[in-house]
Amino acid sequence: MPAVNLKTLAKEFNYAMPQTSKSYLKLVGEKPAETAIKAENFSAWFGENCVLSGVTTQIAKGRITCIVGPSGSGKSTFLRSINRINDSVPRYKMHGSLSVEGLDLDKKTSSLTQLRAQVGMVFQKPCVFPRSIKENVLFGLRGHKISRTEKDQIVEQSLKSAALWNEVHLRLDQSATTLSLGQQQRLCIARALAVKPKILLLDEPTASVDPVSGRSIESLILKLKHDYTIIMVTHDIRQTKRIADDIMFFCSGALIECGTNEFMFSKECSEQSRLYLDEAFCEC
Amino acid sequence: MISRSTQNTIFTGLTCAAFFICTGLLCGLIITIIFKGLPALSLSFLFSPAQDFGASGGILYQILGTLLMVIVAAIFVVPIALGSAIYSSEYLRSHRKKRILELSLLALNGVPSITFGLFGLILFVNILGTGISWMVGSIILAIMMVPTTTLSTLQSMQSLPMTYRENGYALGFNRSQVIRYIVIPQGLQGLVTGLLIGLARAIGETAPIMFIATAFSGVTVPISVVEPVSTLPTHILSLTQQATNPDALKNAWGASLVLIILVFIISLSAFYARSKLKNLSQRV
Ligand SMILES: Nc1ncnc2c1ncn2[C@@H]1O[C@H](COP(=O)(O)OP(=O)(O)OP(=O)(O)O)[C@@H](O)[C@H]1O
Ligand SMILES: [Mg+2]
Repeated sequence: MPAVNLKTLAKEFNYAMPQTSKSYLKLVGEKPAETAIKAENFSAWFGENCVLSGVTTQIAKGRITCIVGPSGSGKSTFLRSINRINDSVPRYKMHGSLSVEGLDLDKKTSSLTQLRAQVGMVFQKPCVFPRSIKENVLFGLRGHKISRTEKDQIVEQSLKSAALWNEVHLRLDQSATTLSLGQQQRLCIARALAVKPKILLLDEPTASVDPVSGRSIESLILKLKHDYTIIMVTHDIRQTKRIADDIMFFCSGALIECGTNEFMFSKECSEQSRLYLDEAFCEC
Repeated sequence: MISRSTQNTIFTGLTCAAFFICTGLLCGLIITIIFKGLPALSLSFLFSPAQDFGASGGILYQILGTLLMVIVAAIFVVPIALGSAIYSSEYLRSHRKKRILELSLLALNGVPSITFGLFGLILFVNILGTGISWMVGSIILAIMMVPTTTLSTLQSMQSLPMTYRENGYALGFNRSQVIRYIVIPQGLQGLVTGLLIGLARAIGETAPIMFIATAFSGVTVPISVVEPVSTLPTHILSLTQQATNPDALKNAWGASLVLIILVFIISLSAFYARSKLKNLSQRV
């Protein structure tokens, strides 16, 4: 059944749950040892517009999961739902459960800050604060009591793991807005790393940078994989093929299919995913 | 029909005339005050107390009284303006309520200043029995400054793109931290600009403080909050009422010049503050 009908369904039931997931959940290959994120029948609305319907999935720890799908299919919404950034958007509603590192907000056992401390996020458009590079890296640690030497250590470590240290270590006190867009994006990654999250959400991290910076961000992501669970939205199919361990394919607010890289690029996957991944085109 | 180039010439001429009328009036006014006021101006005029109802001596206590009243007024305004701007921009969700707040501030801004004076006279002096007190004057001036300050703070807070707040939340801040670290620094520029514009207006106000806060002669530095002071505008008023005395008139021009210089300094600081505390959004 096409996802469009799910939306009308949701409307008819007065925003009640749409029927259980229509996504054919196929986790192929060896079962991942641990799950970082678990979504069960997760749906989301902006006003009356159902943008995610009945997403059920698990995201494995310590792997790179790429979220692909046509524009407007709800990829960003799903990503932003993970660390509850959408909660402050007016008229946003959600239903179903979404637990992160075992923390489930709906069960009221854990707090929003607790959850967000586990999750770092880098947005599609780099957004640096009009302060020095150093202050930007430390921005998420404001309000913590940290000694000066410790701060310097954190700055160096974060910038090094974001592959930016060599370019900026001589100008840490300059305004971050003087950096190039690709550098700003990596600075945002460094800023997210400085608060030591377990999960890193990246919304099209290479979309607003040139191919070379894009490549350096890519290799950075591959390096970070050893310490973080990475979930990343991308429009670049080739990039997905290069770096993804798992792939989730969204269309019209539904999770059509998810599976390992090999599976999704093989002949076994569904018609829709194959069409999209082969030709970056789909009619669903 | 007039030809297009003639039309153009006429239009240019008219705008040019409007420009010269506008600047000409301002220059004429300033030049007159400088010419008439300069002879009265001297160090001893600035730093000695008035004698003989102002016809001789200086304006020391008038300057001090003016500064005391507006500075205390500014201290009252800052928390109120900042608080209501934060509440409206960060906590109020409904557009109608925001609109109501804005409209009532605009309405408050349009109330004639003499009305505030009467209000202060009835509420503080008559009902609460404070007597003539500079503190009451400061409160009334503060009420008059609240609209401009709040509106301009609000405007600069609302011009901050949502992504900055979202980046703050993504770093694990709660709402009050987002407000403290991201929204207030942004609002500061509007706050300072609005405050200084309000101050420039309040410093020249005579009507609202005439009955409630000032005495025309015989005051020095107040030692309690329920004493009157003398201010430059009310001093000028009393001097011009003795217009038959050439000495009094000369000092009136001198005091006017000092007042204009004070307004000018405040306006210049507003410009300076505006350029220094640039918008976060503008720097990106
Ligand atoms: N703040 C919002 N208010 C209302 N509708 C929204 C809001 N944000 C997103 N939407 C809607 O939700 C749907 C999914 O948007 P989303 O941003 O998740 O798409 P996406 O898959 O990330 O697309 P893209 O690839 O273009 O970034 C879209 O139809 C969009 O119009
Ligand atoms: Mg998106």
